[in-house]
Amino acid sequence: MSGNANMNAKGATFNPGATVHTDGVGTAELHYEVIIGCEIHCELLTKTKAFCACENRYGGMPNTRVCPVCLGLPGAMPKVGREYVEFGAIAGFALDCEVARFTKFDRKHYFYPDLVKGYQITQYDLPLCTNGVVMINLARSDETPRLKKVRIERIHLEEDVGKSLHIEGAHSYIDYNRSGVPLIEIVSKPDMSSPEEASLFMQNIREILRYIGATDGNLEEGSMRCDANINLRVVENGKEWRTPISEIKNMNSFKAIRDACTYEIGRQLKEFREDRQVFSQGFKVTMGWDDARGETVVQRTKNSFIDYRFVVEPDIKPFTLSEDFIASARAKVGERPAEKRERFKREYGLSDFDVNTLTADRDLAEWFESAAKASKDPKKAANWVLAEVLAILNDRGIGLGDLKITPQHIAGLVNEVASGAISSKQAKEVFAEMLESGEMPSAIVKSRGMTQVSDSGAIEKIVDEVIAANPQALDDWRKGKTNVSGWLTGQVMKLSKGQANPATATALVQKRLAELQ
Amino acid sequence: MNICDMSLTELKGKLESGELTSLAIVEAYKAAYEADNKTEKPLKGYIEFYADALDAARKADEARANGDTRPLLGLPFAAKDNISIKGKPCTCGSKILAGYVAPYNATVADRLIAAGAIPMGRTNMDEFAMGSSTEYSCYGPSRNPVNRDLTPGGSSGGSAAVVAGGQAPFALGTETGGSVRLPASYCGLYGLKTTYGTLSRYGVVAFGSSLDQVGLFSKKIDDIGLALSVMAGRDAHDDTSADLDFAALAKLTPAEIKGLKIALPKEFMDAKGLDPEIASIFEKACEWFRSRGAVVETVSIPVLEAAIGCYYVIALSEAASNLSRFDGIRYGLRKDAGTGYDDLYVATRSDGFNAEVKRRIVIGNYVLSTHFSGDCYKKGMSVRARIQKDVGEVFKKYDVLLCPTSPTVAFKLGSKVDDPLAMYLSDLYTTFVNLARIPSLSVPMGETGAGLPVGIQICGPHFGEERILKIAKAWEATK
Repeated sequence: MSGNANMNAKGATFNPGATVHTDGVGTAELHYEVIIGCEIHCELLTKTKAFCACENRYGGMPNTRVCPVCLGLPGAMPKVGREYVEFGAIAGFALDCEVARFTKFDRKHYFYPDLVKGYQITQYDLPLCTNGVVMINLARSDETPRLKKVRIERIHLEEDVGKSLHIEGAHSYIDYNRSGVPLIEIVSKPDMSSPEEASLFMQNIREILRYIGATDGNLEEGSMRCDANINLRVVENGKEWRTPISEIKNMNSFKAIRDACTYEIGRQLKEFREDRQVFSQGFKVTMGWDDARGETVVQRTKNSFIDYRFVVEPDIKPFTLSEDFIASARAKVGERPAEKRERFKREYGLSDFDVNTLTADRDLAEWFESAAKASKDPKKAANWVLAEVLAILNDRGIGLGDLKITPQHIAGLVNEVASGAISSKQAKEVFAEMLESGEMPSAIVKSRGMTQVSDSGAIEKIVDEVIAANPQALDDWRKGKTNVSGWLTGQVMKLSKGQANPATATALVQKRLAELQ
Repeated sequence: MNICDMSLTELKGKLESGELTSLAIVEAYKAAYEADNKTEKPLKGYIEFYADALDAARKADEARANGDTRPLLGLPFAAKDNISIKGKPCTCGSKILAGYVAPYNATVADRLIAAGAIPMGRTNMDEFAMGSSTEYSCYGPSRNPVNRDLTPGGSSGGSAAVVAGGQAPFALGTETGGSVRLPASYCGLYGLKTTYGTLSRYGVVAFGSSLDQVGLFSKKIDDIGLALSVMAGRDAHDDTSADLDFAALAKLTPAEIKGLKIALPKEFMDAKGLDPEIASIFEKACEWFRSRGAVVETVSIPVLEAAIGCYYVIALSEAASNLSRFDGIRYGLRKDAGTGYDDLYVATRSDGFNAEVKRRIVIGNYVLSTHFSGDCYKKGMSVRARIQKDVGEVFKKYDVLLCPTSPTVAFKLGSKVDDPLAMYLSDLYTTFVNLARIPSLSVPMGETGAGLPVGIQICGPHFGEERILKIAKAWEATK
């Protein structure tokens, strides 16, 4: 059950904008608000790993992309890749963060077989980026956007760990190809108040970071993983509590985020009712999400407090980012999806739905835009892309790069129609042909002699021929039949083999009929 | 003169003149090492004398015959067991690295090898460089060539022992808080701790990363200059290495002593426990400088009183962090009860590290845990910043700083092994150098009545290696 914000539950007030739920289970009147903060780990698309020259790529033969540094061999030392820091800064600007001019790395200690050094190189108290914002859209794609601001506390650089593979009853294997892959960790403020919002937050971050080319955002390959910190603010009989925070680790699908948070809300509510478990500072339960069973599973209880013993990474000097570096990173962000959507609407007069479709993928948006810019009628170019090009891509399961046509083909086609050289109907034929041959529309029009006849004299002749050949039609028209003009125009088009300019033909038929009244 | 008594520079001259071959040199050291091993109280400076050193010597001789003129061609060196040499075990004197073979060269070794030098063997050390006597090595202690009942000092005691004992012309050690200068002082050698950043740390197994530097041992000062000339400078693998050109150090000229401004830190002179014989040798050294026109003045650097405490806070914190990687998963010792990896870590690390290393890991982790020790680590860092600043101030007015290397001479093996605090105080005069990141050279400036060597250290400003080596050269010339 959802109620409105600011609902007054016997004296206790909820935050403005919060969705307050009323739990119908049990006897006491109980209202609660959901509080979710997310930490998103995102692998960056740099050429090399974060601290060594090994290639940064997913998969491959286990333990083939490793060196003394990313294996943490005795004596090996990290070396910060410039591209790594640059990608971090670009991501920061893309999420409206402030990017630090002075920053450093730290070590975070824990033991796990996939962690080669017994510590992870990360950033503790001087993160690269702080104070960002993303706007998540709570409306459906065909509705007017309803935006909610989610604040980003920080983005810091860190390194990924290896991957463990446990074979039941046999051994455990570890692949260190992923060890040292550059990551950013994006930490939100606890601004989300439903599982849907948490999922939207991750979708939004993914869209932006993919757009700017910082990550491939491949969820199946674990390029992006989300941890959600969730608890409830409960008001019961005028008294207020917070339930203990659960951190659900390593979710790699939007559905998992929704399902896990939804499950966890129910679990915490039940726990609160039954055991009166409440929040205490500094402790939280770490959980995993079991997709198959559809429930969260406790990994670490609040009693086993982990002390990461942060220490300054002495092997990497603290460093200052030059204004040039910052300016270049800022410039590389380019236009973000929301900005592009606004501009497309404004410049090309497209609908929300069309814009959302065209900008869902950066390549498509850019493809469309080159067509639009080269054409005399951008809206028509949008129609061609949305109706025809996307249909072909979907039908054939291919990408834009696999097409024989380019945005210039679409622009050419639009321009052929706009200039009156060919009709829309002819345009479809040209489209079909250029799709197969890759020839420019102008060449096709020429070679097939498809030029549209707009010369009034020539068309007038055909009109006279048609009227003379169909006296019955003229009679019908004189008797007041209304659809005769259209039928006659059709005959004109047919006789001209479709080459007559339809507008001219219509006008001339109507003119001649009026004369024959 | 016997090959084994010659300095690196002397051997270089004889190789270049054709008087000696590299093979003859390596054979001589090998024979000396093997003969010594059969004695009642062997030095045990080497953990391993490389079987392929003779082959490398033969190849160097061939290369020379074919016109190769690299500066260190055919000259052998020994390296501490924590410096990676490709294809050789690198165990840091610890059981936990049993069986680990380095798959790459440390940059310092790589540069020596590229200059034609031959790695001849790896030398003994206190486990993970934690100790002042080599008694904490899993291979057992090395002995002092001057008196075999005494320690050669540590942690680079094996390197000092092989050079002083005529089993190598020069050797690499490492320093975190005095581990080169102390054994140099105990064995009567030159021992240089370079400015932090002069030598790459890549491939050198870390103890306290913000303090660690590779150091050099030699009988003659020219040898250190020669080796440094090919080893120093920027290494792309070490972000903390400095862009330097030390090529000029290959040929040292004596410094002008007249007008040299020398500071003596009052705090060390007043320190309890300074051996009166060392104090008197130090006074003679000061007199040597004064008599040649140097200005020698006492300065007060009160923060030095806090150096040893600050040192242990930072060194052990970083050590606890650096030694986390030895977990039995990827290399070295593994004790697996088959009951999960937590048990595996506990069993491996309990058995693989000695008591001293474990003591330091526990202290370091305690310091790093804000949960237990609050802001102890942060305080250590701010004391260090103060030491750097105040020591830096001294070098604005003085050219060098002079003080004894150690409050005592080499002590008897076994006498301090159960008293960690007494052992820690061996570092009383050395740790401030590492904290301040400055270079310091321990110079063998005298002997006690019992014939035990005493080192006096000349400390210079950042990257002032040339200055301190040239002063030592001037001193050596009048010996």
